[in-house]
Amino acid sequence: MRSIGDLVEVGGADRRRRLSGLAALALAALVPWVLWGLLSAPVNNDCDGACAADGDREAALAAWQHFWSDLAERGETALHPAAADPSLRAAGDTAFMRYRNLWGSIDRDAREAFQNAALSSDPDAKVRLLHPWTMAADKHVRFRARLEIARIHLRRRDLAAAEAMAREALAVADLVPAIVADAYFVLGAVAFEARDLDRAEEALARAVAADPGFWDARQMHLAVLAEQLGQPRQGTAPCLNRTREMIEHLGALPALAEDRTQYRDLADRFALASPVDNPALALLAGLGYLWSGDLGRARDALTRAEGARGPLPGPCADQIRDQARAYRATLE
Amino acid sequence: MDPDEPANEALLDLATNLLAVILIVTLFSLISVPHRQQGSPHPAARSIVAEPFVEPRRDLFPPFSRFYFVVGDRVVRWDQEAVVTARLAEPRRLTGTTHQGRFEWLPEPLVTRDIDTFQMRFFVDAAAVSAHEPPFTESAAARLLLDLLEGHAVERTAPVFIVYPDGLETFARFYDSLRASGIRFRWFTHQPGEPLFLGRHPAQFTHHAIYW
Repeated sequence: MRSIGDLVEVGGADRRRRLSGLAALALAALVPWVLWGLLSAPVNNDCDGACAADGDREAALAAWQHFWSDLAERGETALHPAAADPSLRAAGDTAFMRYRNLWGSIDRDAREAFQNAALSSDPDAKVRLLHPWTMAADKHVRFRARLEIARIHLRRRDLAAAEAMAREALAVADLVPAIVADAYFVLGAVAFEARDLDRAEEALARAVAADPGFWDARQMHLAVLAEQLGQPRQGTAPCLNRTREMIEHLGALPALAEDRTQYRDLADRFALASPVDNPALALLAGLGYLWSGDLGRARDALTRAEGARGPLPGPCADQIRDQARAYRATLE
Repeated sequence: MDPDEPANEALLDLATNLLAVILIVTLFSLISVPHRQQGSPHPAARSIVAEPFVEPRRDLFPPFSRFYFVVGDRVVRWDQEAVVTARLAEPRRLTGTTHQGRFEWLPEPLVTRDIDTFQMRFFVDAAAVSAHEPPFTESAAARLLLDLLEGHAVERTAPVFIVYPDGLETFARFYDSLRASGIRFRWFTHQPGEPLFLGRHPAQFTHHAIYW
């Protein structure tokens, strides 16, 4: 026969066991909710190395909305950069051919040295001919000599030397603002070659900002941004800004090359070479096809953008899908 | 002993085991979901067929060209530095000669673009070129290939062959081994008496697409 003390003890143990069991069941019941929350939440919404401030996201969203309003109002011509120079742009050249009548009167000795360096096929001889002009009195000659040596190093794939000389070029003060774009381009190309996408993105953005007519800087910036948007983790603000910048480049390039097939070329490039599940790149391909007049492929690419569940953060992907949906609706 | 105790313990075991199973399933779900997403193309993507064409990108920082004349049974490197030396010796002269021919410096364009803009013509003296070079034998071809490979590795140079009509056969014999070596190269046919035109000028960028 059990004593009262035993009964109290047994009753307490029962209660503890029942409580433990109930707690375990309650926790188990919570797991699906936790799981659902984890799956539906965006992957690391606002962290790109360090967590970005809410202000960045708000600013990116405001810029994004303004961009699309402007585009809806004015069409893709809203993306054409203002042309201060009516002549054909020198696409394919990355040093100075874009600048019409920049030099004015040129010192004859300097010109001959640069011409001989251009004529030479020996990289060491080129550097020897140009080196004395890296300290020339004329700041533009000084800048041009340093830039050309940086380019020679880059052609030889000596990335460290190319970067050092491009930075020396940028150290020359009081230049015509647009020409620093060429040195930033070298820095961007060096970083891209070294697979440092963040530095490449920053340098190429500076190149485009300094010279909005710099066709090759826009092309390379597009390539870097596309790679950045393929990265698995990025913040909402960078994602929105990168997507917007890519579409700005898409709209600007045909105007610079005076060739609307650029829309088509870029659309093909992103439709064929990009991961199929990236809504930003699919939207870019869709707009390229749309603006080049291939409505069938535009519809396909925009539909793909709407359905893509790729690596972008949720709020950014939602904004992109909304735009893809809106553009596709105009094609129905 | 409490008769309900085994039932209670069984309930507790069941609950804890269920929780463990759910946690494991959760873990595997979280690991597998991103992969599943990345590998699931949207059905609409299939409608894009192979017609689109991705244009090759220009080489913005190209290799350094090394020119070779293919004349008769000779393959001779153009001594471009000899032209530079002649120009340095007499910078104001618009014409000059080297051991391989004659050059003419063309006037500057009216619209200045870059400080190093230039255009020149080089008239090859085919007889002089041939006289200073032995015939292009198989062993000479093997040596040239090694030289080209080293030039690309060390200085990032790439050959450009200027092929005269009487040199086509010589070049054709060399062509396959050149292709097989993986060396990046260009070649052009060239008529005797016509000058080689060389320069850096705006039309290369405004009117022509340059891939090297």
